[in-house]
Amino acid sequence: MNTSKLTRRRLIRRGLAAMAASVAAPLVVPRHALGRNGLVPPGERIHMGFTGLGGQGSGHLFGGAWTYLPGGYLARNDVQVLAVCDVQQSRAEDGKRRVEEHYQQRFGAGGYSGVSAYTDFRRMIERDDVDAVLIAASYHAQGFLAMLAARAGKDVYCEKPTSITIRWGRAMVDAFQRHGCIFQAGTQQRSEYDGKFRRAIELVRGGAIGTLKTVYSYQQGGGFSAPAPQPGTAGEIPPGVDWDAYVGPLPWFPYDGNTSGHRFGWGDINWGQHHYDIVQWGVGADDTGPVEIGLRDGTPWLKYANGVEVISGPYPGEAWIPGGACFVGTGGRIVVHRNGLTADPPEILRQPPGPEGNVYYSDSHSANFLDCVRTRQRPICDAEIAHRGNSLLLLAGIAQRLGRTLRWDPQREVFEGDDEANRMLSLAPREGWTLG
Amino acid sequence: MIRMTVVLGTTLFLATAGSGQEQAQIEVLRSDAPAAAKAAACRALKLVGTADSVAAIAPLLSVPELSHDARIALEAMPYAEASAALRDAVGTTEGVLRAGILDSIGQRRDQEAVNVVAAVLADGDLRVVASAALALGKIGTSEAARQLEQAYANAAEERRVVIGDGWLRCAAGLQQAGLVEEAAAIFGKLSAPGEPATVRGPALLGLLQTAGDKTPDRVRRFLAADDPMISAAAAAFLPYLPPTTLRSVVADSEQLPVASRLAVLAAARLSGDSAFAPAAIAAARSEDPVVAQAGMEAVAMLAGAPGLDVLLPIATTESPLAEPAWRAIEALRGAGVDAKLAAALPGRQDPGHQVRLIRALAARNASGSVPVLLDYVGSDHGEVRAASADAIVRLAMPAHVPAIVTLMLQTPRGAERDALEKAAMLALDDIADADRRTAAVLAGVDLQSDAQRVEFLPLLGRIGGDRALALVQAALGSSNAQIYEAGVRAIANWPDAGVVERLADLAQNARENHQRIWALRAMIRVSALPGTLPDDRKLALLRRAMEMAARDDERSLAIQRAGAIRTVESLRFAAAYLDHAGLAPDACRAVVELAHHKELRDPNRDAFVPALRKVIAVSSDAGVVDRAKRYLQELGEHKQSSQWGKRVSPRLASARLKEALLQ
Repeated sequence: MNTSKLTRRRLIRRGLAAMAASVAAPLVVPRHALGRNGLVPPGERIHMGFTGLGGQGSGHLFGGAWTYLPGGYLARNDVQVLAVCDVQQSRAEDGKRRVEEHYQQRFGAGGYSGVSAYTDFRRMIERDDVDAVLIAASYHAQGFLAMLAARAGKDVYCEKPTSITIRWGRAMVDAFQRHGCIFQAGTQQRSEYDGKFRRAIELVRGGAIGTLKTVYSYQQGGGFSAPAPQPGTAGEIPPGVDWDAYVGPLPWFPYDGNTSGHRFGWGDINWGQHHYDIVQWGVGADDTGPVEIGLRDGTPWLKYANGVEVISGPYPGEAWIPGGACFVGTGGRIVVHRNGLTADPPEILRQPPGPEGNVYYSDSHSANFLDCVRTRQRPICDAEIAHRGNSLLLLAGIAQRLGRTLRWDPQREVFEGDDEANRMLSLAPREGWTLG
Repeated sequence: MIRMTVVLGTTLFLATAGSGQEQAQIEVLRSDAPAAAKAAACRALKLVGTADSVAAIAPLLSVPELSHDARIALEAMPYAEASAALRDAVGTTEGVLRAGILDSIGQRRDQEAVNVVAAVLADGDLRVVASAALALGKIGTSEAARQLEQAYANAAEERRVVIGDGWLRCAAGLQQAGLVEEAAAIFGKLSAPGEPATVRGPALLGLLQTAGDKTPDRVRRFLAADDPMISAAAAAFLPYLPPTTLRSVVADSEQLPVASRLAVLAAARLSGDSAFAPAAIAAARSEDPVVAQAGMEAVAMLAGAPGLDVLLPIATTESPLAEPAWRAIEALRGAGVDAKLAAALPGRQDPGHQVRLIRALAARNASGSVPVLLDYVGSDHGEVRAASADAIVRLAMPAHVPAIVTLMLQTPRGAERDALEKAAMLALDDIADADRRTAAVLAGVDLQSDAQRVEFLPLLGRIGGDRALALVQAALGSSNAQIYEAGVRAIANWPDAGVVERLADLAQNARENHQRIWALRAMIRVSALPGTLPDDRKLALLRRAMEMAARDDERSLAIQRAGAIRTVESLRFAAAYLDHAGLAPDACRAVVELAHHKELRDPNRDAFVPALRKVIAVSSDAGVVDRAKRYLQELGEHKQSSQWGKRVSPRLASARLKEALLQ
């Protein structure tokens, strides 16, 4: 194994050399064509791998109706896609073909074949020449894969949910902090949607609604349920499916024809991270969490040390909003969701926020990630922030399962004096999938 | 019998505690129950097991198909017995099972396991070595570190990568435990050139984290290093520096290599510390375009209104940096920026610059700039007119309404005039009281002028309220045909159902046919608006409108509006037209719209199922059919077990529907 770390410049040279060797005509990428707004950052191109080529992953890679990046990462001049991965081999091969065709067309390099297809993410991150990976895989594995990537020295853009247990989430954070790798969670509301969410948070934290008292989150949290135990039954796995990679760190279960991304969850363990992320941002709790979690009429609530209460339901008398949050303060309230930003009284929205409202500014989630890959700074939703937001979902889920109020220590990340609840914080991963 | 007590799957996985339950699971484990039952018992014991259950679980650690489930249980248990069982299993397993057991030992931070784990660092299976190394790393004691160092020194290249990973993890643990010097020594060894890259990079970061009072100097040295791994480590450490240290680093950053300088500028930007504004401004003026762009981004976050003096000159050049400069202007933070930017507008002669500056004001939500922007709605340059009108729509506040209305009077009909009206209406939304809204509009209008009455009555109609109604009623009594028509338009624009009877009257008695149609359509619209009227009254109004309608256009509209009244009677009303050739498309849409609401759909399953089946049978709109299928599925009508997936004949669907509607 070659253990000398290649610099990014060397990677570029090597990557371009490899490409040039594999195409009919020499590939010269003009300096002016690289980088944001046509400028060339010294980091040059970022070599990326993509895992999970279903709807979300393909959208990131190729662009699509929902994506936040026209044409996807493939269209960016500052990214070179070197590898694609999906547990379904046909998807991986199809992705490879599409990426190669794109580069052939873009650079006029007929016959270019510089993209590799994988079915096991672990093989993809063994490559020295991959700088960063985008993970849009099955949600039971995403955070785990991100952690493995950090240990392999890769920067990661990871779709939500970013973990299925609180301990896995913490292990992921530790890995990124220890290895100095960049992590961006796919909680795009911080950057996208015309800045509505940022504007709302600037106002909330800038004092436009007075002192924040309550947040209505419209999400109820949930949890992860492991597949039913079926040990010893290997099942017949068709060729072209990497079932072992699909099962990942979960307890083994036989092939059942379903390699979808969203399985084994109950309640809201998926979409809710978007919205609890905004709640945490508004509360100013990006590096901490609530201290108490309970239920009121079956609806979870979470309370922070500063007294702010998050209620996992709609504002009294109002309908559920699909996503978003309603921040209620002593001087008014602000409602923000993907389709709107409103306030009561309305003039709150016209106010310039106070200095406390100067929150992290990003107007493109993917560009923020790539900028941070180049500058090594913390993205707008890094591992710690993502883990803390996701923890709200899982904490609310544990409270629902146990049906009682729980005291949470957000620094140590343990329930105080509640062994039963603490046992719900983790799940031993399957052999061969080491947490750490 | 024992098997009967075991519930497979997830239920027990999250079961609640109870000693009886624990005993039942232990009995399963000690029985000849199938592996699945034993696995489920382990998962239950994860939550409810006490030390008493460990002896029953432990033998399963060496059973390939149950080892993982046994670890699931033991790893979660806070008992010394569980730790001992895992330690013992290291010697009775091999390969990937042993690796898994080592993982669990590591996860439990079992300090008593150091020697047991260290003994397998020389295992022939690299998976075992990796798990052992990481387990020792998590245990994180000095002895664990010593064992790892010894193994690392003697390891072949491939093993150094995984043992080094564990050693690094151990150093991080020692650092957290306050053994900083010990940790720093390990980081020093692992950060030497030639060490595996996945270890060396984090070790360099560790060297910075453990530098103590040498941190500023070390960060500067690292940033200036030729070795990109060293400078990258320093860059990654910048966000964690105390403000005073970061300030000293920024102060010396101009001589750094470009990559490091960009990192420092980004760190300064993200810190939000305005003390970095001079450095940001200096960078924005750099001749290196990459540094200049990073500088402008930092200016936007740090420099406040004075930042415009840097950004505007760049933005108004033909340079590739112009667009990044505009983006920085749009993001520029601080008091007084909006006013300063708006004040810059009159000084710009170039229409392109005017347009871009107006758009920047809009992007900034600079509502205070509306009075300035109003001057540009009459610009000779089309793009300037359009940009200013768009900006006013976005920014207008109630206080701006009189000025906007006055300007409307002077603006020819067209896009800008429409935009001004829209801006006024949006701004008026911020005023809760209708009469206050009317007053805001009238402040800019002379109602003594017939021409102005004709112009503004429709706008007043949209606002509603008693004061506007009085003016509209007066217009409806006017003999002046233009004023009368403006009155009909106004009441047809009404925002609530308060005028529904007046509209019904006009729908039959207005002077002109087109006015009667306007009134009828308005009646249909307001009938189903949320609030004001009870649902049965809304539906009765729609039925009445159906009787009054002479054309399918209005009948279709009435059926569409029924979709907004969430009652089963509305469903029956709409579904009755599913067989009507001209009205069926809107009836289909109304049915699926009503079915969208779970709280209506679920209790009225018997009415919705046949209606949705009928929609699937008759609709040619794929989107509507998809929605109908989805709602049927949510009602428990599974594709495999029902006819709807095959599109039953419209006749059969009709027969079923009629039967349901009669219930």
